[in-house]
Amino acid sequence: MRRTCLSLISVFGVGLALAANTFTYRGANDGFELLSTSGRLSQLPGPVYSFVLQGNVSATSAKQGLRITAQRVVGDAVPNGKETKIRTATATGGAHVVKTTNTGGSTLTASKAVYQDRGDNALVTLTGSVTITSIDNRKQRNFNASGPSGSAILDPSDKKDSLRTATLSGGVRVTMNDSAAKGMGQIVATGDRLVYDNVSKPATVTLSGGVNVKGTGNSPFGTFSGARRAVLKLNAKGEVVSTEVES
Amino acid sequence: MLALAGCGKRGGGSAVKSPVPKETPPEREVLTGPGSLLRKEEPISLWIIPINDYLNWPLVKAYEVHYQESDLTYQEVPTNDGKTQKNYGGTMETVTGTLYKDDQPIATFTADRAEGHTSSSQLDLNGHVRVVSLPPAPKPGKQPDGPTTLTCDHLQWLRTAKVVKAQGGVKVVGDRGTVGPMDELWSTDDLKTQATPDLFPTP
Repeated sequence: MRRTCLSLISVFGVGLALAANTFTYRGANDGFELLSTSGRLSQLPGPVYSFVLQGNVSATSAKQGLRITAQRVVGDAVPNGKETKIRTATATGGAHVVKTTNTGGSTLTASKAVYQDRGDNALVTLTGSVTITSIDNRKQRNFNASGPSGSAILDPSDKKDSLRTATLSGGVRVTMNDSAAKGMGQIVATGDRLVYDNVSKPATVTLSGGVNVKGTGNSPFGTFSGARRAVLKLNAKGEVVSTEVES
Repeated sequence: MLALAGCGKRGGGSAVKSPVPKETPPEREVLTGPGSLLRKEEPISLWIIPINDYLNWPLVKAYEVHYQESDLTYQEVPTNDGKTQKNYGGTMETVTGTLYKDDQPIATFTADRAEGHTSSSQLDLNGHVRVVSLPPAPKPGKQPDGPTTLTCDHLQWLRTAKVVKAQGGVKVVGDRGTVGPMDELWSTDDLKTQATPDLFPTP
């Protein structure tokens, strides 16, 4: 019993020590939080809060449904009424930009991510081992694409699909469910460039440059390769319903 | 009130005309009850002074400390130009006070103890330290900034470097949020920027 108490005390003590050695900024009831090993926060005229954060960085704006993690983040935030919004952020070293909505969200990962809030949307520019994942649990939609570099436009709302458009270039790969599959079946497509348009109806994925498309699992889609361009139309669940190929 | 005016630069000129006595004059210890101490120094922003007028420019307030008790030392040291420089310093207990920048108050403070000396621009505060910024008046049409409050166990105010180095349970509470608590945090003297020492901006 005594040993247990001592252990608890030491664990509690270590927890306190770690907390005190972490740079923290917490907004007053607005869900804005900055955490890192070391950091700097300045209040500039405007007002604007500029920040430089290093080591296990986490920057969160609950009102935006946004969380950015990386080894280093430099950016600024602006108070807007009762909330504080991240306006710009450059994240380097294992950057993750996570936008959460009521029904899912999007996760963007890269070596470097530059986030820019543009009012009615946010642009995220990504370089180095990029993956873009978007999930909508209500529609059971799951989009997953990867490539060396790209960008994404996110919706500011927490009620809509978070990923409006995405562009990837240089050896891209995308995986989507095939609506024609009986059971689990997916379509895997690769090419030089990918454009995902979730704003148009229906949503489309357009691949160009050395395009290969292959059905896997129970997908009845065969295989074609070396196409100049392919346009995959998606239903509300993000499943491929048709494919147009230009050779 | 004790006025700790003068900092070595003006009194101790570089032209050596008479030798400095080898024996250092004795320090006199002065224990006092409640009192105040005002330190004056050369302005930080030297660019505001016409170059021909530098030696005649009045000293500006650096800090003012009100104490309940003090243990100060006092020493009169002859300077090279035949004058006498008066050095004061020591520990003051149960203090309140004001920090100045270019003769304007920028923050008030309270602490269990303060240590200061005429030989240094530094003021140390220890025990239940609380510093509250005094934001400048807003520009026309702008909302005034609210005060920022820094609390910690130990604080060094380095006036000429415009840096506040705080240690021990450091917390900075501003208009919209809180930095800390942290073991060590540095701040600009207006409490607008806080940083861990490795990321503190260098001038």
